[in-house]
Amino acid sequence: MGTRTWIEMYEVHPPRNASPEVLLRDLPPPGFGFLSISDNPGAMPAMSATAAASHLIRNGYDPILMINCRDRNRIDIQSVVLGAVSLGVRFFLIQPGIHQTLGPMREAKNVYDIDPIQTLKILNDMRRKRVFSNYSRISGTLDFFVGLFEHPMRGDLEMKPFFFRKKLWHEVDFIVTDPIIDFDRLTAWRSAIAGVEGSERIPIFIGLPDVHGSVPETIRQSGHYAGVYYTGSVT
Amino acid sequence: MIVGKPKSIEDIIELTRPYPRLLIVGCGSCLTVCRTGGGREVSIAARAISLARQGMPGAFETLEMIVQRQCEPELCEDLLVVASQYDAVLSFGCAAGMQSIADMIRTIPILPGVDTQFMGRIVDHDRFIEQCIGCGECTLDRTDGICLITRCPKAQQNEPCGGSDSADHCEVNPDIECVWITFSRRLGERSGSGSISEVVDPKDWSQSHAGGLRMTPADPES
Repeated sequence: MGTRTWIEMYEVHPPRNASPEVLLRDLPPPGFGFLSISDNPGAMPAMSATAAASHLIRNGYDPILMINCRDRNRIDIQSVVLGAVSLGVRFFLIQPGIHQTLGPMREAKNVYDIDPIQTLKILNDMRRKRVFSNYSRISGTLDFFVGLFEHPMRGDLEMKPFFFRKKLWHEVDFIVTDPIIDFDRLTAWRSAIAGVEGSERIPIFIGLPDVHGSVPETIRQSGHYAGVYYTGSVT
Repeated sequence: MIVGKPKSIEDIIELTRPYPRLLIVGCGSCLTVCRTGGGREVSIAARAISLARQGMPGAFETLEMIVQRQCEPELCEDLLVVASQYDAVLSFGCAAGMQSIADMIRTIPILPGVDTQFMGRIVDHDRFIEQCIGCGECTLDRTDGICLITRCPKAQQNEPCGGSDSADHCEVNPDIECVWITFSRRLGERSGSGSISEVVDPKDWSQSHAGGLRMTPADPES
């Protein structure tokens, strides 16, 4: 992702069935942008994101694999990463996941063993130190990129540098914002985190509510952002 | 304190239907305070069950008792004396109290009159809020006396999830403020109160119920 080209990321919801054909239908062609595969979106079971990523890789895509903290503990998250990297996945995007009580299976028990920043720490230790979360050794190489979400639209701007700095501390590779509905607020958020050392090195992708959203040209030309992330599924 | 809510009268009537002689036991501690298992609640249940039994064949008898703490066997001796004369015990204690009674009284069913909910505190009259999930490793000194594990539905220990609404209410429970907003606002009010900048490492859940049933050692020094 070390490029000045404006990058577009499209969120893809895996099908709620076992059909790869449904997954691959209506996708933009490989190379059009990055496809980000959501992980049990809406707190409803779907084809596993890892399996979906595998189908996409076989069809020429370079997907981003989303991992939610709601449905799996640290053991499984590390397992997912190993499996996904073995299949060719290079990018991971970590999120808490919407609470299951907001979805159609509200009776389910959540996990939330680790939060996204703790997940980032563990993944960073896997690739840099080649150790699992209990510090036992991982053989072989593990190279991948990890992104996390930021939330410019919500909360106190004064606190944002603290949260951003935590992500940098564990070497986040890219940031995706929540869907932006107020670009003045986005600009204020960007100013708030500007003082965090190293913040200018991290590609930030502006979240948009759907594929029809757009970014004002002044924002696009500001040099502060690497591209956009369309959160509405393209499928 | 432990907070519970009474089962519905309909459920209680159904639960106790097979038993003509019923010993109804309240608890004088936590569940009295949260108006779930005290003398008043026990009397209401007894009256409701009696009304439901009117016109049904066979005799019906209840005895109401309050034990100061059902979870302490020494305080349940009076209960043990009379229990053998009844067909079942309907307990308005928390699950800890009920199980304590069930350990002592082995020959008749112990029926739950209450759904035990959480460890919490009083918000205002008749309202209680969960404050502790018993994780076994308290770090309230680092978070200004606010438990992010319990009060954040996603146990976010490093930052908010970003799901709060425009009024800073929790995405999961819109009736309450996002606990990260509360934490952020309180920072600095108290000296040495906590740090929002500290990266919190993954928690050791083995100290919680996730690590299995917990029991304090017989000798605190061991």
